[in-house]
Amino acid sequence: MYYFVNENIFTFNSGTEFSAINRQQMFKKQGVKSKIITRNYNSRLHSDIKDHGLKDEDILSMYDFFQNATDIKVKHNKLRYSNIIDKRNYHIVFIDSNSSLIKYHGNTVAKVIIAPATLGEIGMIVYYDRFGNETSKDIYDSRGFKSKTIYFHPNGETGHELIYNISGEPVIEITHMFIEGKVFPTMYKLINYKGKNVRFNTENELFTFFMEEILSDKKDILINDRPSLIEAVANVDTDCNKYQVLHGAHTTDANLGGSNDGKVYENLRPLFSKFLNCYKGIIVSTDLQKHDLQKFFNNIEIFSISDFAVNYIEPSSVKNDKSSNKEMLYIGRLFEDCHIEHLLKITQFVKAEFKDVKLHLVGYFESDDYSKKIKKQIKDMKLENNVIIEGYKLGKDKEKLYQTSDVVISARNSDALGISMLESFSYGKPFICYDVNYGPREFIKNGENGYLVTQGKFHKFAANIIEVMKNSDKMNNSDYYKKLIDLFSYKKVIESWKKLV
Amino acid sequence: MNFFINARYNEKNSGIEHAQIKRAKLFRNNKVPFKLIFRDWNPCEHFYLNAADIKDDEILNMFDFFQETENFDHKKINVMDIDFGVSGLTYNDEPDNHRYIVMKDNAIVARVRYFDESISKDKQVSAVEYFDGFGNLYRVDFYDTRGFQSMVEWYTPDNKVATDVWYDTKHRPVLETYYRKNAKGKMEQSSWKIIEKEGPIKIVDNIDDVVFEFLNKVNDKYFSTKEPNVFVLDRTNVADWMVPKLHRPAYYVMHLHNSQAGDPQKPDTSILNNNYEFPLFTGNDYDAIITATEKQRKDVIRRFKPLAKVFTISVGIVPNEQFEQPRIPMSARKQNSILATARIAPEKQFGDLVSAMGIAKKEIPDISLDLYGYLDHSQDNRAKKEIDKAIKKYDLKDQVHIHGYTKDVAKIQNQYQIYGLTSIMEGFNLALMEATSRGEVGVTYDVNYGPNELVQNEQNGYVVDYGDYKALGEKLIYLFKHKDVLQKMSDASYDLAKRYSEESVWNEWKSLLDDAKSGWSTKLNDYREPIKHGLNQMEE
Repeated sequence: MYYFVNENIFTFNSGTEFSAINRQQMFKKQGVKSKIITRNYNSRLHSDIKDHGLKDEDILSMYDFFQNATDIKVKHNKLRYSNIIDKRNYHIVFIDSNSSLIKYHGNTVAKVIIAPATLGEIGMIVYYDRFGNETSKDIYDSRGFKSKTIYFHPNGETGHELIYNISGEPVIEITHMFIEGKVFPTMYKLINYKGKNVRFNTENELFTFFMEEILSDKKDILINDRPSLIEAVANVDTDCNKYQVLHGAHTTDANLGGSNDGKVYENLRPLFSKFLNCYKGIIVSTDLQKHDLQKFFNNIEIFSISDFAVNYIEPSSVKNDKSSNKEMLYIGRLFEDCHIEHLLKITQFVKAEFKDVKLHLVGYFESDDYSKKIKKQIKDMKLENNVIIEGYKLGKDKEKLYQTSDVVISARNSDALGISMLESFSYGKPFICYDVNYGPREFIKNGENGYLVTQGKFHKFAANIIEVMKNSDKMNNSDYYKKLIDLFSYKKVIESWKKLV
Repeated sequence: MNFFINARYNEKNSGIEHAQIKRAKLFRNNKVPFKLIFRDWNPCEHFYLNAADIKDDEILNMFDFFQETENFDHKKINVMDIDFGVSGLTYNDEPDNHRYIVMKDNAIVARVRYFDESISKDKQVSAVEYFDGFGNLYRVDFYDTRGFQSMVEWYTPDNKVATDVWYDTKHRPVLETYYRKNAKGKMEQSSWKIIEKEGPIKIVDNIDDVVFEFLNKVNDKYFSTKEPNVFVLDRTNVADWMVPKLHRPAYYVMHLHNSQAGDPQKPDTSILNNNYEFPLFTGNDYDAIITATEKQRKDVIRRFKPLAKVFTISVGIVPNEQFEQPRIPMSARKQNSILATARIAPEKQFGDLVSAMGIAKKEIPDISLDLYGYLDHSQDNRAKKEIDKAIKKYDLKDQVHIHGYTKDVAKIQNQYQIYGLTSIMEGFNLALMEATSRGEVGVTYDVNYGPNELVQNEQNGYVVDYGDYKALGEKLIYLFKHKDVLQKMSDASYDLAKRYSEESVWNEWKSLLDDAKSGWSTKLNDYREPIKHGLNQMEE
């Protein structure tokens, strides 16, 4: 069994999770046993993974495991039918579709937060005292049972947490107390696990124990996708092999990955020092990165395996009507380090040629502040008619955006491989981005499947886009893309994975 | 089911609890079910009640009810039974502090306290103070003497209690209270949460609301169309505002354990005894009122004209086996002896009793008085000072003996001839009843309520005007000079005790229980169950 170690599958995910999800789907399709395992508590996990095309059996969350809730059928828990509220003595007062208040003799004693993207399912209940303080909060699992209670300290900070099995018996107790004068989680305690209590100082220690509990066969393999879990995985006491996947460059300046001047990311340093011997190997996505790393670390095996697999997707007829609309697509995190501002400036230049050009921004914002900043910039640059903020898209919605685009772009400073680059190839679309390590440099051939542009050269970037748009036939050769994509097919990629054992 | 409602039961208790225990045994002997309800959380409550021969099944503590531990199988939890979730521990016993210090290497893991020897000689765990891996005390678990984790205090980082949680035996939280600052910045209990196994979660403001939920559940659980649940409020302040508001009907009884008048000498006009103010203002919400004496019953009816039935039911009960014991003649007792057993407190006015004795000393030189009871030091030792003053005045140094509290009352009562009483007020006075039932002759002031009924003037003693200690002295002289009268009155004391036999008192209770039953069908007719149909399967 392959275990793909991760923190979480979120509602909104980044490349690391997409890569793990993609790998899980590929393994399943190719009949190789595997599971994603996650550390974080996520009451919406089973709802979120379904949105991303995974099934319950594709994932094993640590909390589910200890809650004995790995295989639970979804049960409705709608506020209006729920027996949690004694409706002979308490009023449910509707506020909006996201929340309702619970009143007793006219006083508000609780607030029910409806689970996101559901019709009236209880997500969370916050309880108030007679002074209006929040005293505690119950979290409900998307499968319909009470999963956790959070108690607050009188000053509003998290006090302690109880995590329940489906019979309502606590199975984990989390304590939040002082570490050098600041409140942090200070203890994770398993309650009555196999008849015993077991105490841990950190969530990662608990996670290590969890992995030791689930590994049952020497042939099991741990594939860690998260730098934050390097130590937790390293500490697992087992004969099973462990591998670390790098989903990004290993140096702060990706282009210095093979140079003595390159500065290794802080969160990867333990991997390359203290814990190097705990791992059987390191997995990167490109031969370029493998080559760079091997220069410095000749005492560990480094594998180059694509962190994403795709199959060629036949173009739909949507775009074939040759409408005059020119469409650009950026798909990825809407974060400051992804240089969304660069994309706006580039769009402005493209607009000079194509007045109605559209840039579709697909993804989730880093923060409200960043979202406001970008929106303001769009307004200031008078790009309201040219930039469309699509939000986080999956499935058919995402597919349609690829199908209708003329070119997919990115202004990031680095990419281990570049999921949107691969996806754009799989839809037969050219990809234009900066000339950076690793994926772009290794796979983009100027004038064939896109362009590499010197970082910060917006004019040149725009000129390349305009060129692609003007000569749409030139980079639209489906045979070319089919051949290119074959490198990343499920069949090819799984073969590389199988070599790991 | 019959419920007797009180707040708490401890190692030392007052007359109300003693009366409840006697009543409990009377009900038990007559095979009528009952439960003693206590509101307060107390991990030793069952221990003390068991010691008074009350069985677990006869006790219904509110917290036990929520925790489902009313009939928990007793077990002894020792330090080695506590699972800290850490291996390689060392345990250092500190017997002087009644605790173990549990260490892992150099870090403290817990302090485990154990009950002292008055409760258990086995170092049974009473509390566990837990520390996290960073040295913070984060929770303290309290154990019941029966051997389960009963309440947990969760601490803030700055070492204050943030939350108290009561768990059931599967460690599921069932009841919680939170501590927060009020508008003045003072920490107080700010809310309670009741988590029911069936699903409902209830948030209420204070412990009174929790009691209301509890009594409703109790009333529901024991509800029967055959006969009502009877709630006797022995401590009215625990639940008086809940009468008669429980969701389902019941039979409510106000038990007056004390004078309803603040000044019992003025029963028709005095300001009300604070404990009974609320109950009397809402007195017509009750089905019955119990007084301990006939005199009190008449006073209550005359002054308040309540619509509730007023029953006189003795709080004292003379057990059957006592009637089978041989009577002890006056000649076999210490000659010219007086006894009083009570808390030596200002309101008992023992200075008056000593003065009466001083007057009698002129005629009865070898007269003696023995006082048994806790010395109450209130009001700057007023009680003791008054006694000492009278001793000095009448030169009684060698004739008045002050002993401590004794548990062996029966043995003592058989050794004396006269029981003296000069209190300001009484609710009944169990001690006087017990003394007279053992043949002592009573000499008392005319005070409400109890003394002037327990002692029938000129039959089994004398009732003199309130405050007239000289008259009391004269009666002592007369009795000690006329041994035949003393013996005759002693015989009468034995005879009059039949008023408080198990059978007599049970008949009084029975008339109350019969009243409850006879009115039940009428009450049920007036009651409507809530709607049950069509509320659970709804469409969007």
